[in-house]
Amino acid sequence: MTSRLVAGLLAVASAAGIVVGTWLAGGMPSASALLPYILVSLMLPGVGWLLAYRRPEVRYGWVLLAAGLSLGVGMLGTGLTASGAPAGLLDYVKSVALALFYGLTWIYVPLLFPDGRLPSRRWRAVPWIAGIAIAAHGIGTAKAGLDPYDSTAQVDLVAALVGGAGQFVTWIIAGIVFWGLVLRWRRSERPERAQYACMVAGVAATVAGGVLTVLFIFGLGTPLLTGVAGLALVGSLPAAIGVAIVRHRLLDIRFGIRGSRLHLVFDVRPTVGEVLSDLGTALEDTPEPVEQLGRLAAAVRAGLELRWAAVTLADGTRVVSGRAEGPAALTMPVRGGLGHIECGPRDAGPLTGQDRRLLEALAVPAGLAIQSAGLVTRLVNAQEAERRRIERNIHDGVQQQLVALIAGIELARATGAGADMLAHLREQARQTLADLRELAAGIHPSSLSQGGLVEAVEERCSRLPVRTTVTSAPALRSRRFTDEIEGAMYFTVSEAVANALKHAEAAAIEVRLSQADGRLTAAVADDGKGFDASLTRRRGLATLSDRLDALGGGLSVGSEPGKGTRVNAWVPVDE
Amino acid sequence: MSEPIRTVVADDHYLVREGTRRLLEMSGEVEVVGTVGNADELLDAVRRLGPDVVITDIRMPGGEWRPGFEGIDAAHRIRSAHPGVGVVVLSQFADALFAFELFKHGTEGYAYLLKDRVGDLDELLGAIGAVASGGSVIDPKVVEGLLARRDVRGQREELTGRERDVLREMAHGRSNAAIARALHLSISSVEKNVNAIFTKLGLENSGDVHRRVAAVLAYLGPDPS
Repeated sequence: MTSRLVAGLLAVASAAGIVVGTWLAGGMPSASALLPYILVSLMLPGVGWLLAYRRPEVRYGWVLLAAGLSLGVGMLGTGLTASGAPAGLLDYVKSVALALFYGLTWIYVPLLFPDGRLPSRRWRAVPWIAGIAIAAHGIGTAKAGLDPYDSTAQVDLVAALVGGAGQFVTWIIAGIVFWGLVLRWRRSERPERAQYACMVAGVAATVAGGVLTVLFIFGLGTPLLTGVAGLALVGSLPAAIGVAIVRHRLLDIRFGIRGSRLHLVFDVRPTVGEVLSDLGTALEDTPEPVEQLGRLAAAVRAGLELRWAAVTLADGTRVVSGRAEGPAALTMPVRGGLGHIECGPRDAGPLTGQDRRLLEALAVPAGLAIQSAGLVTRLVNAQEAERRRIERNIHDGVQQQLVALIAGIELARATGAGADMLAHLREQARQTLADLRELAAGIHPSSLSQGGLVEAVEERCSRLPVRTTVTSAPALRSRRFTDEIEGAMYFTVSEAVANALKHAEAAAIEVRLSQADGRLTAAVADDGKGFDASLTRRRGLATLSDRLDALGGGLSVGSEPGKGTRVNAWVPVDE
Repeated sequence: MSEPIRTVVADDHYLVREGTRRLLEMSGEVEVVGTVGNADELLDAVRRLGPDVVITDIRMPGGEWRPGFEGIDAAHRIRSAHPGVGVVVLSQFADALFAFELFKHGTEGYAYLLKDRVGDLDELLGAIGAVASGGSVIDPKVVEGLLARRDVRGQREELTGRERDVLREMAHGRSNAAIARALHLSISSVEKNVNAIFTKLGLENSGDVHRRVAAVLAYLGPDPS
């Protein structure tokens, strides 16, 4: 807001300087004749204000505002001098301001077009040299006492030489900058090309105006030509920038008519920062992974004003915002190679380099969102699979046993069973209970909730048919962690141990639990036959790896055929 | 006493299979001519042994069958290849979804019972008898579940408690006389209740006991459109 206020104040100050200065210089009676000149001059602060107001983070608007202010101060100074104000300091202010105005419009405005940045690092000396030349021009001219309206005045030769040299260098640099601009125009792609073309025409008109003005100073011009030259000098650049804005969406600002009332509004596309911060909020509010991808696609679509945008994952999942029709106009791989973002055609006009930069910026959070979406999906799937497994176990195990028990009891009732049969039924009921207990332990062992990680791991390993040792620091035994951490670590050990028994045919298993440097680590090593880690994917451990990932930890499996297997799991914990 | 009904029992759980066999044989009304552990063996046993009725578990893992629907799919195969064989499907699921899956090609000769009915010999024998003669039975608990579902959907029919009892008995495929016996009512009172139910559900009354289950099911069906 503050920057917008400053932009407004600068623009108003410039306008005031221009209006009052021109008035004073021209004298009251000729005010109406000067009106076109005033209006044309006002374009510069106007355009500068528009850019600085809508895109305060882009330097270009401020450069234009500075030029406008120089013009305003210069005109005011000229006006005050013409209406008889004493020379001296005023001369300096006026002269420097006008030199600054010419320097800015001839060098900085074309050089920094379109976004206020140098075209390349090669140009980095130019602003400094130009700055010195402008200062020399302004101060030298003022000190020399040169007055284009009074050629008989006393002239300080040294100062005049300095001023002339400054002006000369300014012209040279302006020529070089103009040449650079022409080159950029020739090399630019379609949408930018039109913007550069405007600018080239604007600078050319300005130069023509400048040449005509110089001719006038040497007494070679008609009043009409001089007027046109003056208008070209102050008006062509802002006019060119204005056209670039209105017709060619310079800096993504454009005009339109909104609503039924015909008032002109200008609209601006969100900046990269705005899109990113909106997206961040949207993603935070969206717990569903697929929905997150939808938000992402929607953000790209809105940010770039596309007919459609799609996010496609490496696994083929595709979420589209809008109606995907026709080929993508632009495709951007998402950071990390997890997928890519596709852009449909723009509502109006082609995609620009600016759009590509926005998309590049979006590809970063997109990668993160996709990554976390993948993790969440895998965790949810694993959870579902685990639930189904438990349901199947209950259905095929305990539930069936109870059905058998009911059938047995019914048989006993109908036949008048003896003691043997009742004892048999009791045994069946006990077995059912034992199985139920085993099942419950598989879901969440009571030793884990009651006794903690070490206790539960020891309990799990004490029932194994091979020699198993569990080592842990005594301090760890009494340590309790969150349910998530204890669960993830316990089931990782449990799975690793089960793998060692099932697949590795291990004769001895060693489990180590330790805590150091903010990490809780579980290592399970066996002396089994091992496997080629590059060829084998272990599903159970992959699920647990995701679980550990979600806790900020990790899992590594090291194995070689014939050399046993070593599983290392860790999670960050508070000391 | 008439000839015992010849049955084959299929269940992947040994204890359930044997418990059911012994229970049925003890009744004297049913002869178990074979017991099998999966759907493939069941089809084979039906071909070889030519039973009157098959009693099968709904879920028997193994083979090239739809997982979880082995019993139902086998039932359909049996009924289409051997229309004279009745099928009683025993299920752990009170969810009507599975019952409708069983009855999707018609109700005749099919019974859908919850597995705990093995603790109620009369119920089980009733269902076996019904499907043996081409009738159909649906577990009253499933019907109750369907009625409750309609209540939840705001389609409450305002059946009286007595009418709900009668509806439950109708689901067993029972005749009015059998319902009267079971509920200790006069036959005329049962008839009155049956008429009231059919009127409230907007169904055409049918004297044919076999069709009644189908009518009730069709009405309570999964797709009320």
